[in-house]
Amino acid sequence: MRAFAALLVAEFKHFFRERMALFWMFLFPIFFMLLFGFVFGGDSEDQVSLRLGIVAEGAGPAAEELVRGLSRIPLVSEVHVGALEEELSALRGRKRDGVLVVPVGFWERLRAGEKVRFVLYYDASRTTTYQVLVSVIQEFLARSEEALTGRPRSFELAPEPVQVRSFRPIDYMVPGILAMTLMQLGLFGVAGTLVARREQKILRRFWAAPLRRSVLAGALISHRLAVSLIQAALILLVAVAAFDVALVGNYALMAGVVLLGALAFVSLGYLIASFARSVEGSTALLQIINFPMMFLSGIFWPIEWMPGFLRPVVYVLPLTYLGDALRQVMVGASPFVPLWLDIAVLGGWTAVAASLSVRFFRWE
Amino acid sequence: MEMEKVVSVEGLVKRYGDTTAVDGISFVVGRGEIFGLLGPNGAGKTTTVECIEGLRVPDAGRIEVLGEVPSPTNYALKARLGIQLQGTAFLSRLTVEETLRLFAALYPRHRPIPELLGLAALGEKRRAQVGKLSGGQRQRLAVALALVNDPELLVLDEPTTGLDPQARRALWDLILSLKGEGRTVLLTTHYMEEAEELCDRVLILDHGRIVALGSPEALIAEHFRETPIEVVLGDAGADLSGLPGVERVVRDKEGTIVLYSAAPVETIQALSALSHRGEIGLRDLRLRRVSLEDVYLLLTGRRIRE
Repeated sequence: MRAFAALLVAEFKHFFRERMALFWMFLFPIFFMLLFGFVFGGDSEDQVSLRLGIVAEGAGPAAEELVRGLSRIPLVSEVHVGALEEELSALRGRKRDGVLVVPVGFWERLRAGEKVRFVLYYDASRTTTYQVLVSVIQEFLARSEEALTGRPRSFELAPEPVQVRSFRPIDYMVPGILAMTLMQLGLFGVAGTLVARREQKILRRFWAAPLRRSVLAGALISHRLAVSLIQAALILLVAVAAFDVALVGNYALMAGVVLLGALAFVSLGYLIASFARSVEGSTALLQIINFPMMFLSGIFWPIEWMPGFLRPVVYVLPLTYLGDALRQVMVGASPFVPLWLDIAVLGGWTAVAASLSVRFFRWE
Repeated sequence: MEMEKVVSVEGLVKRYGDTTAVDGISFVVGRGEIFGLLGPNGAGKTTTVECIEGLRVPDAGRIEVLGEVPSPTNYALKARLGIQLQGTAFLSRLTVEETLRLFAALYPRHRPIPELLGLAALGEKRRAQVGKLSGGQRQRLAVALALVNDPELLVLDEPTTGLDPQARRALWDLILSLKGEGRTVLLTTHYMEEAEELCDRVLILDHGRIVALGSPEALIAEHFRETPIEVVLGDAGADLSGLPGVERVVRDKEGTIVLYSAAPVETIQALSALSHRGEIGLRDLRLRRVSLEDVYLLLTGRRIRE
């Protein structure tokens, strides 16, 4: 215990005196975030194509005609038909711009000259989109009715706001930058450090002392986990202070995901250090892992934007799941996969990397 | 007198792939000795000491250190050894004092830190970061770290390599003072004068095998009965091979004549008489001591330096 505490203190002192490391670990992610924040900081309400959800339970074949009609509107890019709950959750997840509920028997009622009420759910945070949406639907319904009955306006469009959290690119970026930082702490902060210390025989001198390897490994891992929490706190602080990023999750859950992510990449760091023989070799290997992870795991832009042939890679990378989990617990973004699956995948990566490291890692 | 064994090595063999680094060597180190492993780079010195330290596991043979068998997990033994490894680094951003405290915490007991700073003459540098020390200071820190646990046996692997003469002399004094404290020291070196200066006994290694073992004086006496007398003459050509005691005459490139004499006093008297009678122009005369370097040269046919 005395040895563990002494090693942990030594790691902290060594780490916080290394200016370059501090820059890469703490300031770089923040610069990165500030840069992205100022470049893409604005609201993303420039969408001109509408994705509609139609709920038409029991509306009969006339509803299909309506859907076909809506699909032909140039401004409408997608029309989905589904159950109310399904479509509303798609709206909340920003996969729809509006959800139109077609009442039962609307066709017959319109022909009979009755007032018919169409409920239109929309995203309350996006006023521009809302205006486009309402006018498009209004006009479409008016024309449809006119074609049918010769006179418009016996329908009534009832817009219903749905509270959807407003997402800006920066809201998406912040968890991504944190995920990237946690990954790099594992890759460079663990694998890079271990390979260098092995090469400089720093580790060897420790083995000459009556020190168990598990104690040294434990001190290093504990230190890196503590650093990951400090990094997360700093990044969140800047995100909230500079960009007003709203945090939705509870802090214990956030800390838990940060620690799990850090642990997964610390394990991966040990695994890489198991196979890298020299500092030069490990630098190349680390970059080969770092770059694809950064750009293919959807931490900077949505996974949906990536071409289909890259998807299998996306699904394999652990950073995909860490980014997704952090977006869910920090800013309440819509899931790529459910949170439990993110946690399971990260846990699985940790378990596999850790057990392979125990098997293959060489301290000298 | 039977000496108390601190280290005993019997038939040690260590291979790396196809290379046999240490090929069946045996020796014993007694309590209170300074014992030197001497040989060129690649002779197997470091491998031997690392097996003794428990950092490497031998392929064959038996090692006993302080009554125990060293192994990577023999922590009780490691706690009693003071180890300085060849070319090790320490966490570069820690200060000298912090490094000593860190290692002190790894052992069950330790010497007071100020005492260690004093021994290694690092008192003024105690707040300096390790990465900013000079080579000599870093080497003294490595030796101070070997002393941190107040060890019974010190194993120093090339403690003075890369040091300037002054720093080397300071480290020699430190090592000799450890012997004065009754500690046993096992060290490796490829400096002959270091071995002669420090070691009670030396073991000369070449290609993983023992070439010679004994005190420096005994090794020299065993292999060289003659004393080299170097003379410089004003006129070339005089034949000195007939002088009393002279067994061999060698003329080196600079023109110095080396007379290997079995009876140096008689040889010098004869030289002096020749000079007095004006038969030779004696400009200079030096009696040189035979060194371990001569022994190594004789036994291996090579010089020890890289």
